[in-house]
Amino acid sequence: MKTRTALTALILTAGLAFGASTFAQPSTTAPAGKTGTTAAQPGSDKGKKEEKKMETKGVKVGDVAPSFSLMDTDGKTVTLESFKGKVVVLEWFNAECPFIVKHHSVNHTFNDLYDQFHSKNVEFLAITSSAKGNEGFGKELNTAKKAEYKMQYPILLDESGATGHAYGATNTPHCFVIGTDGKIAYAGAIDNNTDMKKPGDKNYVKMALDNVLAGKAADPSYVKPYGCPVKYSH
Amino acid sequence: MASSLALSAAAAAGGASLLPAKPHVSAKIIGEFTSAVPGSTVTLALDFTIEKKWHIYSTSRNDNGFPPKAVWELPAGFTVDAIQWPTPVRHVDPGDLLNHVYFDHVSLPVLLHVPSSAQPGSTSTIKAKLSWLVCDTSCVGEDAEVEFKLAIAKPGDSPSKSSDAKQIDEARTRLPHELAKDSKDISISWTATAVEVSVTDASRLIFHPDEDCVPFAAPIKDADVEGKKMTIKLGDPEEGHTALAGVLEIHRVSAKAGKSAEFVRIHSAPAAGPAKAEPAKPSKSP
Repeated sequence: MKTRTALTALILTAGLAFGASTFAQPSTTAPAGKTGTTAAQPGSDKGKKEEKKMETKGVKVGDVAPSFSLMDTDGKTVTLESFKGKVVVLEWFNAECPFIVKHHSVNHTFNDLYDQFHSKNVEFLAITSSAKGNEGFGKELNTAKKAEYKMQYPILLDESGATGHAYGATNTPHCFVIGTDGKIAYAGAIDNNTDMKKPGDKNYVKMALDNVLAGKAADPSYVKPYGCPVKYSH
Repeated sequence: MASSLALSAAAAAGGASLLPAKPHVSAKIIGEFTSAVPGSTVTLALDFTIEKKWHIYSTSRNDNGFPPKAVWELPAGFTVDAIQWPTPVRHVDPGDLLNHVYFDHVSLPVLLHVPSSAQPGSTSTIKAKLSWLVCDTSCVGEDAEVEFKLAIAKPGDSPSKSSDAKQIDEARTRLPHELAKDSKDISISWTATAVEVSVTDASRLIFHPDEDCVPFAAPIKDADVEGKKMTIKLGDPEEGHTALAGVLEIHRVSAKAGKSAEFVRIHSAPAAGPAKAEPAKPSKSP
């Protein structure tokens, strides 16, 4: 463990333990979300309530983006198909999660992205997979939050969690960039700072969009997402 | 909240009326001894009391969340080592989200080096700005500024244990130790698709992977098993993450000793690698 002296006050940061390497910069590379195949082997049954027989499946970069048809806060049905030929950014969303607050209220990360890219054939959709009774659930709450956060794009209500599971969304925010070919171009974190207030100096969705719009592959194409657990139903 | 005192750090900062809600975690710094002599090393701990059902996160691999962060402010000449993390517990959220967390209470030991220039009879104030994410069915970011007053004793004095020493001792019982090089009861073997961990006399095995551990295909199912053998199927390769790295929690039941648990730090690379701390093939013992 190295300590670092700053000023005369000797402010020591707990460097490695709170490691830049472990969470300030999420790992970049490889697989999208939880890509494990279905667990085939029946394990010993421990009788624990959390024990599940299947692991979460999700999409990998390069996979065709799963289709969906979800209601937005205005009661309008929105399908992925309706954006055919466009680049689409999906943002897994929970209005009350501190990391969503970080990027929608403390900072305006997503609104800035929208302003920068919407005119360039890029559509944005927020999706909440919060189940009934869970944080971030509901048409009323999300209608109010959409106004409060001045969001210019819809919040889709995925109450059953089916769309979240299809994508393997684990965190809020958890971002997916879908190319004009309908395939996942980028999956993962919004940026490189897991702090609850400060944004990073690398916005991975912006980087992915810049590349995709220039006809290039996103680089990185996957960064481990950070945030709150998606509030799926039990 | 277990302790009203513990609330003070957060509450004092801005006045209760400014707080959005009552904090779910109270934090303080505790010390093993009531004083320290110049030039010595003493154990402090960041001590978190967590509201029932809520949890904070460890440094093990998590699908969500982060461990608490600390920024120390120390008197001249004092230094601290890395925070030590007791082995967490596995927690699965709906949607098969696996996290390694602490419930109820945890003390995170930290070694403090007292400079030989510290003045006997004086008091040194150790401060830290802490922030953490705490979750139950929702998540909240909280922070606190905490401090600990350390009395400097005369060289040659024998500081006595503080009333908080037992919390630190309890934390130590869940700190992992390194795997002995000549360990015969733990063996790790690799195939192209899985890593197998065996412990001769285990009744249950749990593996808590580090962030940079090789990816697991089905960690919820594979990394917590009854019995003496654990077969962890490997997930999609991730650059730079090739070794089995983390803490192996071994439970044993014996007629003599009853139930016991051991926490062993593992770093085992597949055959090509150096296999640090990995015992060679099960040795032929006499």
